[in-house]
Amino acid sequence: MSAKESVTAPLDGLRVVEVGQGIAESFAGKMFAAQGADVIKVESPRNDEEGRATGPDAESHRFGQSPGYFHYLNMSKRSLMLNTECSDGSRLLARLLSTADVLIDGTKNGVLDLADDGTDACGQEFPRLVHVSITPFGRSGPYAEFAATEIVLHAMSGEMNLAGMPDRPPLQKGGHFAQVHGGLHGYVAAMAALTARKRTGRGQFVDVSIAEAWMSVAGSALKQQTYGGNPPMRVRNKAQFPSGLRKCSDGWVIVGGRGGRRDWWPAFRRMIGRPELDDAVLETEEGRKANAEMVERVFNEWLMTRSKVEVYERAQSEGLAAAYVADAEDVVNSPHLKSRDYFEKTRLNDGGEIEFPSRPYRAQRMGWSNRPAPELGQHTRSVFVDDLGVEAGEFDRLSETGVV
Amino acid sequence: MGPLDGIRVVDLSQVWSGPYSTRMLGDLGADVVKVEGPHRPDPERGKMDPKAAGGGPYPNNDPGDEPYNRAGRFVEYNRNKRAIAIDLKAAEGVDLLKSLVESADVVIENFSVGVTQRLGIDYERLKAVKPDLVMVSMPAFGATGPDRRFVAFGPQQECLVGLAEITGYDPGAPMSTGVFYPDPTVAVFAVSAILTALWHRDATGEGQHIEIAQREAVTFSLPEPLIALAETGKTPGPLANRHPAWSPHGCFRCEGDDEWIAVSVTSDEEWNALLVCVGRADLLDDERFCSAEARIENRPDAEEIVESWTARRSPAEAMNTLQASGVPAGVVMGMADLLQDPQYGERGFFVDVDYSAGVGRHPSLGFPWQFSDTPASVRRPTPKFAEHTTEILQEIAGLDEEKIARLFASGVVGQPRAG
Repeated sequence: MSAKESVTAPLDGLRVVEVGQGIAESFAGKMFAAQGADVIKVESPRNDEEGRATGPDAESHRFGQSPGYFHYLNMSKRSLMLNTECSDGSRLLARLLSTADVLIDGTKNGVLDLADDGTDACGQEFPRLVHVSITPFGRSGPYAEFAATEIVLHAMSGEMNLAGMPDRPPLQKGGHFAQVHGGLHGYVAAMAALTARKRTGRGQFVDVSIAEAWMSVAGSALKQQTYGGNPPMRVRNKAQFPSGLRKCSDGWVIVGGRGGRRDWWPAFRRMIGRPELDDAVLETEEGRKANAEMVERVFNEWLMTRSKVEVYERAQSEGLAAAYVADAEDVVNSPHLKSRDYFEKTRLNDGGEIEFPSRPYRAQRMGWSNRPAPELGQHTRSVFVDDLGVEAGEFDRLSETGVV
Repeated sequence: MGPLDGIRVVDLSQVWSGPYSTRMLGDLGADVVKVEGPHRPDPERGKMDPKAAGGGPYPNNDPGDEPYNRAGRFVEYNRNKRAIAIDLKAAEGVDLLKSLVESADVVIENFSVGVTQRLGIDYERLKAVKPDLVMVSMPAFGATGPDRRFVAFGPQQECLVGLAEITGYDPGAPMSTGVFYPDPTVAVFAVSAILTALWHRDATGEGQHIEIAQREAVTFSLPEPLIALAETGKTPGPLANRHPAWSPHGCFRCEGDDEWIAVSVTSDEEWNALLVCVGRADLLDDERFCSAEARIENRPDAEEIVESWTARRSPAEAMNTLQASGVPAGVVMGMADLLQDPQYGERGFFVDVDYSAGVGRHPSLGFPWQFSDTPASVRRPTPKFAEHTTEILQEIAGLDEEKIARLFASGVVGQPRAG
């Protein structure tokens, strides 16, 4: 989309209070913040030591300190440091919630003393508030209190057993997709409830289970089970020829079909350009199966004399769905993404710089804003004193007693 | 009544990412009109000829007489929709589509780049009949850039975004996820974009076009490798089930055949609790395990302590014991386990849908959100091919019987029979 169009912050005017330190609730808040809502992240004083570090995937950051990932998840938000476990803190939080449209709540038992039954107390107190709880297994059921990390969510959603090798353990996949989806589903839930509020005038409570969200997303195998097929346990890497990851001269590639019902063989044959493949018998699936060894050999020989980028571009020029296995450097240097200005250089609070993915979609009239993540408690005073009208003297007293 | 009651979506999308997004909208209460071609059904309907090989999965492995109404993946992704078949290559078909769009809030499509222009149903043309329309396109790479005409599906996208590179058992041996995260991931972003754009529309009266390039939406969900590169100067590879900061962390064998539990110790407190659970309080002060750093240093020993205990227990027993002490642990479930699990059972996550029409009752994935006031629901089973063509022509397009008969006769709209 062209930047010349007039764009606005679509969620300008909405106030979102985010409580909890997990990836899921932070991601939900990120969706709001980037699109113009005033997202106030309520952090515990304890975050100083433990919270602002959310499991990176880097060897040298093995002790959990990844300022980059925390920063990414919390851009464009305001940070409030508040001890919600005391009555003064709880009272202040209630005051904040009375001005909020949405509460994103990553705690397992509710963020307020008055909400310790988990669900409706917030609704009685703040009838227009959309209260979205995002927890590993939801607020009800025998696992409501269970602790979960990404690997536990992959295990308990059935996802982990789907791919990997039958003679090795179930395999966790990279990234934090389960928690990201917990957050995205939380965002969808909040926007849907805000939409309903226009009609009903009422807020509501929405209970999002990260495991259920991830099962919904990754649950393609459930269909096999319930429709009578065999549940595919760690066998899905046996892709049909020509697909599946294969080695080429400098890495790995995947070459698939053409999509729909189009025959991929003529394109594939042209791509390889070797006379062995011109045999008419190879034009059918059966013929190729009967000559599988030769076809495999010719394909692999061709691959081993080409780089991953060459294979990608050559296969795509024939209309075949193809890709190479990109590492982080390949991703950030992708000419395609660069030509679309996809990455945005961001200065971190410690002075470092990272090129972050800028946005998930491009809308004609809706902007997407990535402002630096706040320092811990950076906006405590401005939120309470300037926005909520807490008197400066009172604020200082609360500050001295460690409430804020 | 669902939260999106009163929203109408004209769904031109097919296969997975688009239909999954409109299924979510339908689950949330929207009226979704699925448009297929009279001779171009959604490819996810699978084979047309009941005697042909392949396809599925089908109920009881039986394609039946109408396999295109029974294909499992299609059935799962298209509940809560009505189906109409319109020939968009015919001028009259395009007019018909426009008359549906006039009453719609949202149009969604995942054709290849350029197809909507060629058919004359791109955003600019549809906006002419519905000025505040929200339209979403979901191209693989986006409409601009050197790779814009390239073809990629889930298995390709997860390689390009760097997911395969960090998935696998061994360094230098990347693996596919097998589940192909990109399609459903893009679907949830599409729903997010639509709800945001409808909010914007209600505030300003403006519609708009939104492009969700699959490659970009998935990369947005996976910044970790890029951050690791920036912070360490190294490109991360696969970690199997281990974690860079935590130990022990992984998948441990339990009693029985191919039974496993995931255990993830994220702090010293959790490690100490685990030691007590497994009857090794004697190791509480052991220097080899006194910090995450030490437990990473002595990873095989720490893992052995866990597995020698889990191997003599069922996954459920091990999970319940560890969780009771606050240690993150979870059964590695198969699909049969999920359907019988007390957590998902008590929450009613699986919904038993009566698909009738030769499919029968089947448990389906339900709703990951529980709304206290406006619940999601299954109000309609998955439609048969072109099932609601007449109903939609009457109710939405406002056509009379004679006109409808003419459209059927000329082939501009399709009969409830695929192929």
